[in-house]
Amino acid sequence: MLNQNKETELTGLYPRFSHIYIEKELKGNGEAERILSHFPNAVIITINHYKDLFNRRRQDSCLQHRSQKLILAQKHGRMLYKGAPVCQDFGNQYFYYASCVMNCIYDCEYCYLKGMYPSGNLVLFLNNQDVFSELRSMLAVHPVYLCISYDTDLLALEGLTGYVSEWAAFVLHNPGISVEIRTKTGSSSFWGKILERLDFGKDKEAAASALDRMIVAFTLSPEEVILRHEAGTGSLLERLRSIRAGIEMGFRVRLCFDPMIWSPDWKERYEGMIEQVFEELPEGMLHGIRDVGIGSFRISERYLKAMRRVLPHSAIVQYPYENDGGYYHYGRDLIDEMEGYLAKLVGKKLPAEKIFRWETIGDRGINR
Amino acid sequence: MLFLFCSDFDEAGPLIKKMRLKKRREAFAFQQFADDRKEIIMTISGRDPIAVAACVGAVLAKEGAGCGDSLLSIGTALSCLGNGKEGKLWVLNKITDAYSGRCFYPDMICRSPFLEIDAKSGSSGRGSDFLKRERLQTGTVSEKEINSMEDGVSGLYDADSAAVFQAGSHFLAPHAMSFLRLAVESACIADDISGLEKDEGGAERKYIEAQVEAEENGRYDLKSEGLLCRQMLSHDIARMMEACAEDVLLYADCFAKSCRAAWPEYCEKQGADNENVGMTADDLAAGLHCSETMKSGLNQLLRFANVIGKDWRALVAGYKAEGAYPCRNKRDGKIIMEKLRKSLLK
Repeated sequence: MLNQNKETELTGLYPRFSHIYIEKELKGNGEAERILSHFPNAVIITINHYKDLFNRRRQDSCLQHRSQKLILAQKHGRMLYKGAPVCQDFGNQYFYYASCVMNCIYDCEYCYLKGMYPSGNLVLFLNNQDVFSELRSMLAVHPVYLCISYDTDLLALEGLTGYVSEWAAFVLHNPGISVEIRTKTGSSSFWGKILERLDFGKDKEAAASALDRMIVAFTLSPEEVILRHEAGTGSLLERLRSIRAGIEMGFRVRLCFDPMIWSPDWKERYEGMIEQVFEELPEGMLHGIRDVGIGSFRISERYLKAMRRVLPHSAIVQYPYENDGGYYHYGRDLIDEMEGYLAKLVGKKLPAEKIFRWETIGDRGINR
Repeated sequence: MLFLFCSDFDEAGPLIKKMRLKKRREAFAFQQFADDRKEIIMTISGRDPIAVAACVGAVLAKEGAGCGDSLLSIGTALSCLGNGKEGKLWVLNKITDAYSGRCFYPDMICRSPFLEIDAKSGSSGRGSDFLKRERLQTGTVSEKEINSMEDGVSGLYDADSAAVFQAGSHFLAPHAMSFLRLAVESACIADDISGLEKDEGGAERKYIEAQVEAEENGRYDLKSEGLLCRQMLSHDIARMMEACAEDVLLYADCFAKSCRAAWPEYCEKQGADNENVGMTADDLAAGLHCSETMKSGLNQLLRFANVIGKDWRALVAGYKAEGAYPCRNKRDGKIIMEKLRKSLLK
């Protein structure tokens, strides 16, 4: 039954997506078949509902992440959610987010998904059309600022899903919507695909408007933070080169220095990072920076509690944060020092109105 | 610790022999075997799902199973057809409870050299659905009937895997439970004795022996007594288990290592915390006159200090030398705690 080199065969974990779970209702679905075709060697397991697998008790999400499985599912019920208080709304009144994918292929140590989800496996919802349908109803009432890449990194999965391109097409035909796609990718190939979907050849004005409402937001961290805490993501240089490529194609990109992570030498780290950012994005490219978000690490009490259980050796997770209305964050003085310092550095290159800082206002615990 | 569960001695015997496990003498409701280092415990659970669940729950609770431990359930399962599954070991990746319809999914994280399959689990020893499917071949059951009853299960039928999973999941994570099943032909335990014809030699001899024995005892109706079925199954299972024991043990070893490796630092840390080297967090909290809230904050601060490798005990020794610790009251305790916090977060 066992072949030769038994020990070698048995050692270690299965690679990512070695197993794909698919809801029985999706068997034979064209989109599901297309995704399955990417993984000809995967073991396919039929499930009734993704929650049967995803919400099991006592799962080790960190271990699962090291051998991540793919779950193909359909989302039911509500498709759009109000933006959370810990998230920056960049001045938008109707701030929502959508969850087309649950979990991420990147493995950032501090990521709230580790505390939010009971599983480390990746759920891909295939019924994007239902999200679009709910969104159309909402757009009939008011404009919407929608973040579609909070609970995952959609651009990291673009080669598999093509979801960002689908969203580009939706944005093109729905003028009331602005979409933010947060990412840590180092890839540049997706820019061209988005442009293709915006179809400048047909209606230049509509395409230009859509281009402005497709907000690609890069999370930027010092290289030391990326290497130590953001496993699998693009390096700082790769991210900056991708940003550059986007700006050259006409996109206006958002830079997110968020979350800022404390370490004894945080000042030097962030100063070095800012130097590198503006070396790669010199004066002539600053017009392509839409705005900048700055925020220090903060997280809901519930998520941090769960993360502290599964990451007992993470200095970021075990840091003695202050609890303020159910949200953990660094001490007020440290927040001001860290965010203020970075805002000052960025302010030397960009106007103040382009810089957004996350902070609590009064007892509402919201951001601005 | 690695917890092995088998339904009966026929399944467990070859493994016990290979692993040189010794029978446990202490009184317990289930028969157990363990290695000298007490790292492996094999328990004979019985086959009925309720007995199996009781057994798994009792063993895991008694041994205090938790992180780093693993459970391997080894047994036989019926294969639906003579489709080449028989005589091979399979890892279950999906278990459907035949009664409730609930599905359970052991995490497929640790590499296994065996092929994977799904299984339906219930106490109907004959796996009636599977036999019906077999009868489809002979035209005694319609395809429509088969489709309505199978519910997507295409693999094996066993008695206990759902029970093991449900009981085990109260103690262990889904990645720490694995299910190995040796597929046996459904004909082996069916009323139909035609399966005998497939086995040249051993089984036939057993059958004749059993027939002679039965005749001597004045019992002629072998089929209805089930004597034939049991004897044949017992013989075959022991033989097949023996043939694959080495592979099972190798897998068991790697599986247990993977489960331990998933939590090395955590387990080490727990060990270190339990060692009580010098002053403990509780001692410090008492010296600071901490309230419960303060104590919780202090514990987190000390945990962080341990993670980043700062020696908080040395700092406290400094306060002690200054005469500031132990504190006279909670107010002084707060001042020292803030001092400690600032030093550790510098």
